[in-house]
Amino acid sequence: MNPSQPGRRARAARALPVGHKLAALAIFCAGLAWMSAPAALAAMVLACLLLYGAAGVPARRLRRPLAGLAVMAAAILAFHFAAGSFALGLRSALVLAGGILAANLVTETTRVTDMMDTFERWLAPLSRLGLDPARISAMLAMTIRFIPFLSNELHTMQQARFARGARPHSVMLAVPLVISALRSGDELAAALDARGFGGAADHNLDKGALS
Amino acid sequence: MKSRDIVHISLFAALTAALGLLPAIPVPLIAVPITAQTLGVMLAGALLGARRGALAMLLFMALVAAGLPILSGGRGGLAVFAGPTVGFFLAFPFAAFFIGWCMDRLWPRFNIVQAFAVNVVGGIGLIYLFGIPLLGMIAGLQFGQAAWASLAFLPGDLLKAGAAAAITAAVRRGYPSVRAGSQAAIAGNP
Repeated sequence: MNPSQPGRRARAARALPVGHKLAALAIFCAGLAWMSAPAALAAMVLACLLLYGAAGVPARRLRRPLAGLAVMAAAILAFHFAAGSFALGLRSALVLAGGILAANLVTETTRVTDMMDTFERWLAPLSRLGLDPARISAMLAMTIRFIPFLSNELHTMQQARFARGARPHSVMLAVPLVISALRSGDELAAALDARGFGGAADHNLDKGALS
Repeated sequence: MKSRDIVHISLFAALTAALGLLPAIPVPLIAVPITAQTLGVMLAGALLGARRGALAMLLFMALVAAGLPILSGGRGGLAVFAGPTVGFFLAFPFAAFFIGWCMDRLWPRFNIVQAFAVNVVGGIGLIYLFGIPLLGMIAGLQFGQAAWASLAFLPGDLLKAGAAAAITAAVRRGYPSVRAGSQAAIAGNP
């Protein structure tokens, strides 16, 4: 079987409505906050790990969150052990583990695009407050496109500094990065307006771009 | 909202993400490596102003929640909201709004020392104000203990507040029209 292809269980987990998964996560976390017995909390964490199996999440996808969790839990336990409040530390670490594992499970079994579609659907009523859902979608899509663009720009500028013999890693690289980003952004905004994206009321915005 | 605002908000959300993708810089004398992410928070507020800066941060948070690994250290997804550092993250839009609100008033007579002070109050004070109590709640620590644990990040954050002020000053000279549209910028134009 091709490992990059999700299995049957993984497909089933992805097909669950995002709203249901988020509601289940909220209930699970409320349960964690309400419980106090370490044994019950440990059972919740275990149940969560079993759900990863049921949802067909490959074990290697768990390595990173588990490693991060181990560091956090160890820090909390060590601190509370030293402070003589080990029971409280154990409870905090278990609640943390359950919450992080459950939240991560929802992320693992949901495509980013599905999650964004859900956010957009939930934000749709905001159109009455003047927040156009189409614009929110546009901003989400643009941001995703801008991240690799800005990373590439930054890399190019580092190379340019390196070629001139300057220290390639300097925090002041943010200056040309921001200015170049703003310049491309103004061009993009002008292009959007030329295509009627901004609507008729927005014609005065070029003043800023050209001044 | 104009197209230019939409593009700029997206750009600064992406900038905050791109800065988080940079490898953390290990600093001699300070045990904790510095990540550049909160630089994005300060710059979004300072360069976009209160409302657009806060919107850029909300956009960034939505993408983290949606599962993009754009928080420093490659973190992302809903697990961030269950983690002990969630408060520091939830404070981003408030910090950007505060810094933007102050900079809106400061912009015509911009002064790098005042900008640094604004960054310290908004980009450090406000972020710690949200972050430390939540860290205490989640890790079962008292406020003082959580504050001590967060103190390790303070030197790096102070450096970033200074860097953000210097970057803001340079961008203000190099691309003054970033604030075109905000009333303060118009009032400051000769």
